[in-house]
Amino acid sequence: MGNTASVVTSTVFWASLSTLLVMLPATGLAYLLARRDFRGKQILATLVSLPLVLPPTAVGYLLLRIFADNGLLGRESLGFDLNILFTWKAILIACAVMSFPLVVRTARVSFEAVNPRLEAMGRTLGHGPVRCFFKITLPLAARGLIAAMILGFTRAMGEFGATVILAGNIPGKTQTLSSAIYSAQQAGNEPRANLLLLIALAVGFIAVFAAEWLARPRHQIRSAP
Amino acid sequence: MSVPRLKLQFELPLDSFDLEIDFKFEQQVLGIFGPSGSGKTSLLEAVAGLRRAARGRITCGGQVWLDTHKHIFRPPEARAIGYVPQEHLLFSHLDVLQNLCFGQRSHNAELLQEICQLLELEPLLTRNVTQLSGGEKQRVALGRALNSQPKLLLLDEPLAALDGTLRRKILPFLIRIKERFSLPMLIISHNPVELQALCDEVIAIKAGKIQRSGPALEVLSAPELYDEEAATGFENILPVRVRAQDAHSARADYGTHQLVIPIPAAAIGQNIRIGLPAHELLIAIHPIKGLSARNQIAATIQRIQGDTQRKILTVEVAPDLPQLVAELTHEACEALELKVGQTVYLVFKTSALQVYG
Repeated sequence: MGNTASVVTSTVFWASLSTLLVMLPATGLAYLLARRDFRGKQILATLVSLPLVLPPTAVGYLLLRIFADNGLLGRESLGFDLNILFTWKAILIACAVMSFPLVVRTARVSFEAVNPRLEAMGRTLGHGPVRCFFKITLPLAARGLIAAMILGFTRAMGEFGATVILAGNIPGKTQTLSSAIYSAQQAGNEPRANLLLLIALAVGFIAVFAAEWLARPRHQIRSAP
Repeated sequence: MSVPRLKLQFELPLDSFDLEIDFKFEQQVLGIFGPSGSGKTSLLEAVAGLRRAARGRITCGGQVWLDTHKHIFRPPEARAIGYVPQEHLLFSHLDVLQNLCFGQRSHNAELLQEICQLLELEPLLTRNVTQLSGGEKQRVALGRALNSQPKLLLLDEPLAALDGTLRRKILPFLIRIKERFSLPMLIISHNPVELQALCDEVIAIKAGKIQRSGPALEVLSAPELYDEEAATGFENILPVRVRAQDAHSARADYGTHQLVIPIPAAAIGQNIRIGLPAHELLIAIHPIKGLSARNQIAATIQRIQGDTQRKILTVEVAPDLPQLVAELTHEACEALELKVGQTVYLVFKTSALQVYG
């Protein structure tokens, strides 16, 4: 039982941490994609979305190649060892990469839903672009951004393919909720698999319900007189 | 005044034509009139600094806002403008009071109190802006702009989104703003009443070019513009003073004349404005006795314009009163043999009159 509890708490911890890591760059990129036109915008948007459509194992393998000893960020090219593979850091990286596109897409939609003329209005009232972002755009997009964060969190919670390749499935070290279910099922440990399944259902339900609740319309829109 | 209040010399490429403006404005309120899609809002936004594609020179009270040759572009936040767009653009995450205080320079409690009184905003302050009616939104947007202590007020169709009753309510607020804050203003409008009641000068724009400029009545009675006015047609504005009231109507002084008008909300002795649509004005060449219409005043014809279908008459009741515009068919004009300088009698019913506080 103790092992089950630690799998759940560390999975929740890793998923939360990877979501926090992802939020800032994903929000920034989402704002850029929603508001600015620049050369290569479509390419960038496509690259960012790729992990969403690739098999997670393919992404995991790609990351493995990057962090392998002879990879782009490996010991040989950096001159020192980042010591990422098969550690909790690998879980964070795998989860972050896999949830990033989902967060960017959701955040982008919530920025696009904010009328840019409201920002222009803020400018005429004496506020510079940065203050307009924090005083107008961010609060108006906030609920969408929180929903994006929850989606990113659930994606990280359920991450399996990339995590298993990059971090392995080492009980007590890099085992997550999803890899623990896999191991339990493979080992024929049905009670443990069932318990883990129930926990996964509960966490998933709470997260999605929270996202739905945040996305509900807050005010009835009154028809013009 | 040695420095013109507003000097606009710029071009702005739009979808189907270029906006080309070359205009100096010395007075307080400038009206911008024109059909939809003529570039009016783009003009306002270029003045506000929201159109980076504008090329040329814009100065306001001696301060350079745009000078493409010298690479000067003053961003909107440094122009001290109060912009009231057509769609209000209130911030839905803030309540009315927070909206009013949103401006960078909105920290004058006395000013805020005065604005709230002037626009009757006190009962709304804690309300959510999404729950306001059209007229309330309009007043909050106006209040927010005024409370930011602007040097120039830009109003885009302040009455367009409102129905007849609300229009009559908002116009007095605008007149109060004009009188209380001696701010220069640019007002886009389709509405002859608004333009006459508020503007010292009007420019008419079509496809990005200034077609005509001058006093409101002169510009709006020009035959080529006459048809583009609000669906209700041209409406005269008569300044009157309420004199007496009975059960069904009121009496008001109009210059040396007395009119019978619908009962106003204003008290006896107050100055108000009366609207009289140009097509409700009948012309007689002799005074008529035994008529149901209760208003009959003498006037001199100043101008006859128009084509073979319709004539637009500009008449003067007295030199100190604004001129009036009457609409006649070409045949009626021929039959009466109307000439410039002739004395005619203007006949109109009490029920044809609109009271604007």
